[in-house]
Amino acid sequence: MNAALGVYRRELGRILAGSATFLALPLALVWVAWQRHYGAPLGLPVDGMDAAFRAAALVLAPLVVWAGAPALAAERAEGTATLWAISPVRPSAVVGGKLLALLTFALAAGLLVTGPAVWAQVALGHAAWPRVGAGVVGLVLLCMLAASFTLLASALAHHFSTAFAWGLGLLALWVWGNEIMARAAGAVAALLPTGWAPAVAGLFDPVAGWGGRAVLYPLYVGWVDPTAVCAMGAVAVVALAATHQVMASERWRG
Amino acid sequence: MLEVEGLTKRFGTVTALEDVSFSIAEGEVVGLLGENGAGKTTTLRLLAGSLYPTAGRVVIGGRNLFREPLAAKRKVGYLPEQLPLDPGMRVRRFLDYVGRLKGLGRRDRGEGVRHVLSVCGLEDAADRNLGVLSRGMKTRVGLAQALVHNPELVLLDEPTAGLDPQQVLNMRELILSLAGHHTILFSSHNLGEVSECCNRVVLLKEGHVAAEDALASLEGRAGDTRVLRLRLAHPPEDLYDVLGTLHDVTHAEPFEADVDGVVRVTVLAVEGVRERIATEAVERGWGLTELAEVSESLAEVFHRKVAEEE
Repeated sequence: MNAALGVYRRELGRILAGSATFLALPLALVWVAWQRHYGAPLGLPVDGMDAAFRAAALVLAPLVVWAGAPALAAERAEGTATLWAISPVRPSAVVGGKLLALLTFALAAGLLVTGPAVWAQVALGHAAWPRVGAGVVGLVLLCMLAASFTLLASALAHHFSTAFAWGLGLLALWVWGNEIMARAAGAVAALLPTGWAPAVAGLFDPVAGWGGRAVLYPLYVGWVDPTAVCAMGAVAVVALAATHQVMASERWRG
Repeated sequence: MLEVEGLTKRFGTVTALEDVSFSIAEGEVVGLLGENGAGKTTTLRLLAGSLYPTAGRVVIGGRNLFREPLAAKRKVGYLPEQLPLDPGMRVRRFLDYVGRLKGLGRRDRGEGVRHVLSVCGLEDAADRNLGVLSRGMKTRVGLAQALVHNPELVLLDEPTAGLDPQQVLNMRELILSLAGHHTILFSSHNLGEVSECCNRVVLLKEGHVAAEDALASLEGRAGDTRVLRLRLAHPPEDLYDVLGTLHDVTHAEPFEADVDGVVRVTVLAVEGVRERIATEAVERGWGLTELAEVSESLAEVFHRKVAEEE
């Protein structure tokens, strides 16, 4: 616990000292200015929180990937990862500390980005608190998923830029995965004997359409159902477990 | 304090260490000697727990490193050759972070950091960024992080590598000051350095323990024999056979490979032998141009010992 707290504090300090904060602040200011002048972002309706949280997700998810990409890759490149290998620390404490730091940062950046919008909606009397709650849960889930993907990418990569690209790639695969897979399934089905096509297409039924979209990326539809919570939580846990295994391997330590 | 049994490490098809065994008693300062690639760093990394062995057992203070890694690692401080320093952190903050990793509570951490800052002479640099420190100061910080949790066993991998002569002297003094408080195993390829700091030596050669001896014993061996350098203008083909027949001559060989006419003659006593060699050289017309005693360093004695054992 003590070690995890140490990793958390150091990681948070590193993130806050890094360029991510400087990226978040101007984005928040742009968001506030947009609200003041146009009343709604990207031409979306004002009478709901969905648009605000959707736009926040567009900012936060890549921001978390940006902040998390060097978390393990840089430690390995600088040689400071050796300290974990030679100390009485389990890799899970390191992964936990890093994840917690990224989520703290995401929470702070999320408050900066969505806070003014929510406040403005409340002032206008347009706030729908269930939608705000759904938006917050959706954002937290999305940030956790982005952080988990990024930590895995950072553990596998040797350089920040590679980790950043892989983190974004995994996130994109999650967000647009159903469309990509559905198209791929269509292409595969076209090559298969006629009888097989429905079976292959059926494999993607659970994530097809808007219902599937809600599971993959709840902020698109503005509500979070238990399936989404479970699916995103499970994938995050799998990514974190994979990160743990990578860090425990001798190749990573060496 | 440290027991190493049958330690073997293979990287794919390459065997870095093969059946290495030795032990170190509490309070000993032991030098791990060997040329580049002999397996010194691999040994220390295995002992520090940053590598897993292919085979073998390591017990540190009664704890098996590979079965109870957390308990064993609490007893070890390790200074790697490549310093694990975060250039963006201040010295005090970095040591506090390492203290947390070592599992120290707030009070112990505070005391540990204060102590190592004082012991390693870092008090003035405590609030400086690690990235701006000199190589010597960085090595001190590296040593401080190895000591912050007051470990029983300290492993130092080439602690003087890359330092200027004054920094080397300071680091040696620092290591000497630790003797008595910690059990120390440090690697070096400089036997002179080891002879100043250690009371025992383990020599690694191509992944094997080639020799293990007390320094006093080695120094005794150095005193048993003397070495003469013989330079001849016309060395005959049977030179080494002739020299080998002379009384008190134990060995004769080329002084340097590919250099004809310069011979290293190992003798039991200089007086008498020198006259016999000179007489022989004149009578046989070898064209003697030099016959002088050369001092043989501890390193040469050690290497000769390895060659003899092989």
